[in-house]
Amino acid sequence: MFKLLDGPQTLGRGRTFWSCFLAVLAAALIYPVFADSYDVGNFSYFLIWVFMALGLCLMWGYGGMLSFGQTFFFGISGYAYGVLAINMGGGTATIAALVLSVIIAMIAAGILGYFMIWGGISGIFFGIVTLSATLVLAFFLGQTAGPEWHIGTARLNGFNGMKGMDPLTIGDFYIEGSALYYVMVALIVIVYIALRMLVNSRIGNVIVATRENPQRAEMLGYDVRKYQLLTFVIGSGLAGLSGALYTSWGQFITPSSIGLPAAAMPIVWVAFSGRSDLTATLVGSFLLLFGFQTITVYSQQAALVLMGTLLLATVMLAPQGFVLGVGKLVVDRWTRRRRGDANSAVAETGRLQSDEA
Amino acid sequence: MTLVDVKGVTKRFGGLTAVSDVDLTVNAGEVHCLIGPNGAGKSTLFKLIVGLYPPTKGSIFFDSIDITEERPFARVQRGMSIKMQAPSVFKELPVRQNIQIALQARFSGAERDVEEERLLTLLDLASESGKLAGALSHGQQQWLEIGMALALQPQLLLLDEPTAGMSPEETFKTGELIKSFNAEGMTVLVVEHDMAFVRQIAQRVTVLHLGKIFARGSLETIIQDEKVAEIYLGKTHAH
Amino acid sequence: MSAELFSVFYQFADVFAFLILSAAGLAIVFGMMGVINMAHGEFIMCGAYVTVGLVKLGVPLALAQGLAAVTAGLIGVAVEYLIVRRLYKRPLDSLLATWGLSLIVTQSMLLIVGSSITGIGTPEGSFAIGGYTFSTYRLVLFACAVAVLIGLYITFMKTRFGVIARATMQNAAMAKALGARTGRIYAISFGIGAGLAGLCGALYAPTMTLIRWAQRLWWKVSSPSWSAAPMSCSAPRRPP
Repeated sequence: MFKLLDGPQTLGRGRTFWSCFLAVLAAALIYPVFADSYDVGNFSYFLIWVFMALGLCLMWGYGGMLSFGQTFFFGISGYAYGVLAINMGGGTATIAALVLSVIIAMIAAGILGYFMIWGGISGIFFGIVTLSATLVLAFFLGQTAGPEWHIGTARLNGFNGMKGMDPLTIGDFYIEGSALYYVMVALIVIVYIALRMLVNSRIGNVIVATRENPQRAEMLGYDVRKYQLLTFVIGSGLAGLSGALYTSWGQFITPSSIGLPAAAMPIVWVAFSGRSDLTATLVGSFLLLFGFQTITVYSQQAALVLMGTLLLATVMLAPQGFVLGVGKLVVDRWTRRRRGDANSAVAETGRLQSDEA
Repeated sequence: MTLVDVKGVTKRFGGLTAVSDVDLTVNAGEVHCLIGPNGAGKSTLFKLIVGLYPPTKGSIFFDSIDITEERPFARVQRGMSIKMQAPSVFKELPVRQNIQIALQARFSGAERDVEEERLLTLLDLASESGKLAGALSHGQQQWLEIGMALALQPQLLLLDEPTAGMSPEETFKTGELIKSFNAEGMTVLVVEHDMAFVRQIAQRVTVLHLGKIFARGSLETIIQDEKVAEIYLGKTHAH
Repeated sequence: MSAELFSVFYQFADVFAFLILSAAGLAIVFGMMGVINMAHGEFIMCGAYVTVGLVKLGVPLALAQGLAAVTAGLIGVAVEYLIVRRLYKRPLDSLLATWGLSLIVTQSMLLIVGSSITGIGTPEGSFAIGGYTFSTYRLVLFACAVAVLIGLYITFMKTRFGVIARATMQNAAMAKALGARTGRIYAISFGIGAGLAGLCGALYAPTMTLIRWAQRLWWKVSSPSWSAAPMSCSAPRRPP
């Protein structure tokens, strides 16, 4: 168990890292006590997107599959939550709607992924196909304004978006404000830990081997297509989780959260953070979302210009990601200092021993 | 007992017939070398046996099971293990993890750890185990890949020019390594054109020329076959 | 009868012209360099904006369109030199970089110029066959598309540049070893691609009464700004 948490695929190991992790978690847990409810609500809003980023990190950083379709599955699940919650009548059924909509997104990923992976699509074309699917969905939903576009009692409403679904509810208790915040934090911890264990497991070994050299991995007896499909379904399912949470959080969803430039956002977060590490993605995505929302209050366009600039700068200057680069630097410094101390300690004992002799 | 049985296999690429109606048998427990001049179709035949190409005609049996339609991973699961010509290790991963990825299919837990150390020592890579595989020298990468192929504990080890780019000493060491595994019962099929290396390890030899079987037999008979020397070294040498 | 036949041809010509003019540049850049230029739509819009701007300053339409295409081409060369050139070995990264560029340009234009500018009106001129009336300008567009195809064929198949360019496409390292200046070939090709995008924008600019950056020709999917909505209701509303 601990071996899986601290395995070779993830940076950030050992007691120091986990102490920091617990400190951050503790701070996150007591945060609502000190903040006002508006800020807590906003904080939950940032956390919604983190799942999508972690999913892309798994597919792109670990699996070598750059999917531009995160918002595709986000949209499928987001709309599915709306349709289900409206038709199933709110209340505790919203929890079932959440679970079902994520499953629907995963089934969609399974179908799309099956045709792409068994069809031998990889590299840049994987991106193009997923992007096309995304744009088609956005375009399709955009023209569903008429009253004839409805599923059960849920109107799709074209560009104005679907609304009127209940947020997550248990009995009569709406999960919102601090309660929603705690649910989000718990989900993120679970997903983060689960993904760490996945990438450090045998399956994770094969996933990174497939990224490095699919033919070689197949020559070791692994059906790499199955591992790629698994990666794609999990990564896309996480985008679905973001989508369903998003719809339940704001009680509406529009096609604009699927099409361009929304589709570019997860890529910016993950590229900037450092796609090859889950922790870097977690931290970086959160920082970017925070910054993005802060600027959006003044100017949406300016925020998007900044995102574009960050993407360009990352590709040109730090293809491995800025957060990861800084993180590595810090760890390097830290271990070097520690090692330096250890070395002098060894020298010390050596001297003592020779004294005794 | 016949372990690999290639029956009447032909492979065409457009108008070019790379392998034409070839029969090849590899017996269990032998070191079999597939030799021939450049362009003889050795590598194509190798890829057909491995499953990278589907044959145009003919069928391939492994352990009496028809594997003609199977993908490479399924053949590996049946007990083959493959090392391709160009070194293709997982370059961005540490040496140790390369070995682990290969080992985890057959071993788990403490057994895997023991086997991991044994292989690293055997391959002289113990001191390099933390390095990225891409940072190893060419010869070391070849060794690492042979090690990964061995980690699967195969019935049949398939090697395509395993000593390409190695120094004479490394080549000799590789030969001894292959022989030691053969002594433990592993069947080995090697594609090779370095005759010194073939002499060192081969028990039986099949000569391929222009996509067809040219000669086959024990190492001694092939070495003494003048026609083989002819196609290898040109007619002027034979006179 | 002949009028209906011509009507079918007219519609075909219209679609054909748009597809050729909008995609030719993209195809050249992808075919030559394996780069998927996500900023292609921005080059199209660049052509449209420059045309409209120049015409409003009093430049004749045809000249304005030519200048617009050249401007887009020159910007393309600059983009190749500054960004794309460093990424030929990383095709996915070149896609991401041009995507980033696209975001920057689109959103900056929205910020500076606003979401749309008024058009300049389609050149007059129409003719009638049978009971139908057709716009002459649409036929001009079709003629331009055909001219572009012929021009590209001659450039790449009949000229010295074309031979070297195709050699570079097949095997860049070998072409370089034989003395071709592959860097320059790439820059020119990218410039041609961008220039054709600019031409597309320039030619279609007069057909639009309102030129909206957000509704770019290339994607044909209008994408109102992302996440404008969530901030408008940052705290969850209680359902009624």
